[in-house]
Amino acid sequence: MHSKSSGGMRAGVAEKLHQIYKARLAILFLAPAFLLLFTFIAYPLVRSLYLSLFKWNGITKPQFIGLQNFETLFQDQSFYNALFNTLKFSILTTAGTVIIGFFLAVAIERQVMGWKTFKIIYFLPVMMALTVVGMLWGQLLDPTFGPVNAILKALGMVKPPVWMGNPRITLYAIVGVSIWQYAGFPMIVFLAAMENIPLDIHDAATIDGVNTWQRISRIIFPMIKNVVAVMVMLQIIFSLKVFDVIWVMTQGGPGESTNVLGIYLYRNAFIYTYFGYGSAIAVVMAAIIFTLSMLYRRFIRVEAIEF
Amino acid sequence: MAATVKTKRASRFRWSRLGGILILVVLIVWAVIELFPILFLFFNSVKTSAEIMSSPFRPPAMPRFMNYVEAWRGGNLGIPMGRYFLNSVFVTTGTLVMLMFTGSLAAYALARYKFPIASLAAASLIWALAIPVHATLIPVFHFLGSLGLRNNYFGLICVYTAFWLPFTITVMVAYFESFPKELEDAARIDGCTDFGAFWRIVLPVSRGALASIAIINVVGIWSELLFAYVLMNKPEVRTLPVGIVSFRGQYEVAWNLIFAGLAIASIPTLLFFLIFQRQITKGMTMGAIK
Repeated sequence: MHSKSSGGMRAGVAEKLHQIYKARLAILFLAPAFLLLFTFIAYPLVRSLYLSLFKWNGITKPQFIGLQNFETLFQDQSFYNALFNTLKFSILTTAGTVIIGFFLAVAIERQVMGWKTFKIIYFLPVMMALTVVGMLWGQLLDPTFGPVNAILKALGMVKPPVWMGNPRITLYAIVGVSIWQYAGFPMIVFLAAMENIPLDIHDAATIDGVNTWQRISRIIFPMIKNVVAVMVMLQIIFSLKVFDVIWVMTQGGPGESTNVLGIYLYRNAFIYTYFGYGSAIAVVMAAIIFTLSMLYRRFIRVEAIEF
Repeated sequence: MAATVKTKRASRFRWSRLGGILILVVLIVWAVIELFPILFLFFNSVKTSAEIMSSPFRPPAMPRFMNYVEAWRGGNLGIPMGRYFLNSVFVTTGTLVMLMFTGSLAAYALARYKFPIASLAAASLIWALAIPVHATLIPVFHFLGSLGLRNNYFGLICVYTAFWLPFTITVMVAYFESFPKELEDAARIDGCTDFGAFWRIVLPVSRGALASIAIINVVGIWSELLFAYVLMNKPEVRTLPVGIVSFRGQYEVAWNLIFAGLAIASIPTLLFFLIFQRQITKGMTMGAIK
């Protein structure tokens, strides 16, 4: 490293060549992955934008109609219904999983007897395929043969709800199923964060004589605020894309009470073969989720600096 | 600070006894709620159809494992879970291999070679994470169709790999950046090429981290529905989730086989979790707590 002076010019050229070699190597390494990404993500995205300006049934030649698809979209009651359902689903599921996950983490962090087993049990459903969970709960909530209603009847309810058949409650039933499955996920993350809280703080609190609720609200929660914020955003973005579980359980029905954006897109594109219109839906969906994701990035960066 | 004894966290802060019991009760209640459906699934998978209808709560009188065989072969439902299972295994394995290979190469380059191109690439990955895959559904459908890659394992594997690359690369870059350079330098002094250093030194040593990342991706790949549903509709190439959807509309027909089918679909990922618990939970927290 000291011999910069001797053979100065030659060393500079050698450096340059080395850089070029390294750059070539880097590009070679990056090539396969980015080839895939370009072909299957970047290109289709652009094409979606392009297709959204056309009317196309997949067979005949696409017909250019400009922004007409978007005009139709923003006047379509079904779209607003789907949008509203998606938002409802997302917010409720997120609230449920984060809140329950938080309290589960608090309880487990205390390491009551058997906490390891509880941890496993709570996380198990997260590892199940959404389609399996959907079918399973479809059976559990079956009005005549399902255990849930059997239990409700045993508890005295004369006419237990028809979970999947009543347009007013079906969406909430599916929210319940989602919460059942995913409460364990925030729990695990919160647990890790809580375990990082220095014990000294807890000890000091004990000496000061705080009670349980104070401990949770004044110590634990503030210290993992960031993690909670991140988790909320992640869950919201994840659940806005919902398709699997609702499709398997109700396919958007009864009526349109559980129609969400994902299903709305699928139906228009692949059942009615309105590929242009479907692309417009895709574009709008992507815009919404993309914006939220970008907000999420801004959000956590700010929080990090403050903390 | 005086010698800190490693006592359990529980004993460090005093919660009232009543509080302790309440917590335990709540935990047990929730555990029952979480476990019951899973037990229901597995019990029903070995019952006869009649038993399922008549006694939903009791464990099976005599486990009928034939259910699994029949579900595997297809029985009178005409839905061969065995075939779908193998398809899923093939697609998932293929995707993981491609994902790990292309992902680690790219991540290594991004971590080690800092060029303007590199930071642009890394930034584009973060953007890619924000895009919902639904937006690519229609064009991918037509694009693969025109290439004749619909109903084709390779097509689906490529698509899946592309989906999971942004996340995988991002996590791997973080990992490689913290990988000690000395090991590669030592290899290079011994005459190794850069690729050789990567292939023979870095990768083997990183086995653990790579495994964790692979495991996190597995459940998502295994249970993906939308694209498999759209791209693979020929019965011979369907993956498990698609096969499960075809259960819909099959009413009053062999419920025991349906449950066995669901069990077949669930056992791999559940087993995976039970075996690799620690890696999975470590990986989850790695991503969320930056």
